[in-house]
Amino acid sequence: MLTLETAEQLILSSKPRGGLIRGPMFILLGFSVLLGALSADTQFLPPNGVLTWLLPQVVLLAVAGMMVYSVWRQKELAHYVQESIEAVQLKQWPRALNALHRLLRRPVPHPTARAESLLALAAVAEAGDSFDVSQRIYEHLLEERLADPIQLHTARVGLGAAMLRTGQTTDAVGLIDRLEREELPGSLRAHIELLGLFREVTMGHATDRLDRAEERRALFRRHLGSRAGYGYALLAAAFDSAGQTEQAARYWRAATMLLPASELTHRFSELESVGRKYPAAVIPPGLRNSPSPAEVAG
Amino acid sequence: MNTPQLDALLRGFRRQLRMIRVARFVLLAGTAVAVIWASRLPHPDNKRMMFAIFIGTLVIWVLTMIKNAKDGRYVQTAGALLSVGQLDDAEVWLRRVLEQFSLSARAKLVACQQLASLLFRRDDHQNVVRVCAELLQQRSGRLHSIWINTRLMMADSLLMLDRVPEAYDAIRPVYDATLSLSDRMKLLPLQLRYELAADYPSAAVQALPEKLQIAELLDSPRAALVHALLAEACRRTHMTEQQAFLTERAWLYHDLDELAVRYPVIAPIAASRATGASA
Repeated sequence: MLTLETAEQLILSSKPRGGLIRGPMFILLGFSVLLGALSADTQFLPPNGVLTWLLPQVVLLAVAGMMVYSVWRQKELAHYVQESIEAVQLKQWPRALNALHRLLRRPVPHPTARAESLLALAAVAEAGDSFDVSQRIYEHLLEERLADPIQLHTARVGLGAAMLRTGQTTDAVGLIDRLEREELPGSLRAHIELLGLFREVTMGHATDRLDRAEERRALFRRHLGSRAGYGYALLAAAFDSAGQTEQAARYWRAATMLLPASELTHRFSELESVGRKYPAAVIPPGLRNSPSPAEVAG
Repeated sequence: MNTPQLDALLRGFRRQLRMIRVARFVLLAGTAVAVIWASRLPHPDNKRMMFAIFIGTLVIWVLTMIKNAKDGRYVQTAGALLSVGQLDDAEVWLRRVLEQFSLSARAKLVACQQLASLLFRRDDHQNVVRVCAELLQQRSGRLHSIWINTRLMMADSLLMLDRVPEAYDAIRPVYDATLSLSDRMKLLPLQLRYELAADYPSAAVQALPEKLQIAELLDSPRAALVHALLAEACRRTHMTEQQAFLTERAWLYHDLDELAVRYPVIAPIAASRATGASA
């Protein structure tokens, strides 16, 4: 379970150090240049003294040590970033949280790697229904703006969904409206349409835009992969609200072909009534090993 | 890019990598000789010379870093252009990295790999195989990701050219390496295509839940392809129920008739359009 306090700590501890501490290698190099200059001056260091022999070796060893440490740290960071992102993709939440703890407890010098890890942390928080935590993480990313444009876009979409969950409906609606007005490529537009549909379902306006259902379906299908299942499930809820049960049943079947019904209702509790009303797709034997963690939780 | 131009580029690439190795050795050995020579000079000339060597090394190091950063930016730009489909522009940037001298073998190897990706996007599979073979000769094993991607791309092109046994030779060493999830996501469609091309459908239907778990993480077209390949394997092994489910699921991801043009192996599955395709 990820608490707001832990998330705040990880956000703070992972901040890259600024100023001189950021480049210890350059400090050492500068120091060695200075030392070289001083050692060339016989008045500062005696020509045959122990110190004259020892100091350059110490500096060289320090530079080499710093380089080795830097490479090792880079590899460690890359390992934890990969571990956490893989775990999030596979929905192995405890493994993801463990890797993110190890990664974010110390400064992460690369802004995009840090932003990716914080987005993964927000996904872990959402999986545990800690929407206040995910909201805080998204807000932090957007305030700091140390991320690439795609990561910032993901944070805005995530923030919109989190605010709908935490009851900050007015802010959420404002943010989603702004996102909907932006000119974006299809792959990014698909996420916004999914968010817009979720807003309509949660706020009871699901029947308002049924005329766009086909357009949305095509967008979800083209760009969301298996996550299109979430979109189909929300479309099923929209058609169910409008009393178009045949369409709702078709969409619910398509959704459960892609994602287990338990995972859909766990992520969107608004879908529970739809799940009870319409039959889910039946998975033939031998195609699924065991229930996913979300299924167990659901 | 025609074949003589590619030949010249690959010859240049090979020559430059040799020059990088020689230049690195000369620099290292030259510094060591200079240090020993300076230490034998009378005082205080020895210290002054030592300091000069130190500053000289530092200057070379800084210049090398600047050049490497510049090459890295070129490669990054080429990668971005490749991802948005501006292949001719990407080629210009890649040529700059491959033709100009630098001390970074890594930048050259990454650029060469991106050149293979560019040729792959142009469906020039014969030349993809040539570039990949050249890369694999260059001891790129130290750069794990380049080695894996090169082998996978080579196997993909060989499968496109129906050179199935050679595709197996390209893909075989990958199974002995430690693979990340991303590598496994790239490997799965290739592995299934090879198994169906070599007529081993029973191998393709092994560990279906694990394969489906990976397929679910892929983007829509590749998820559709993997589902269609698995459905084809089920069809050949008479697993009718699983075949129907996988076919319906494949259609939910992407239009299979479009994919079947590129991958004829899934044509029988594409022909059996499922009812749930339009949700």
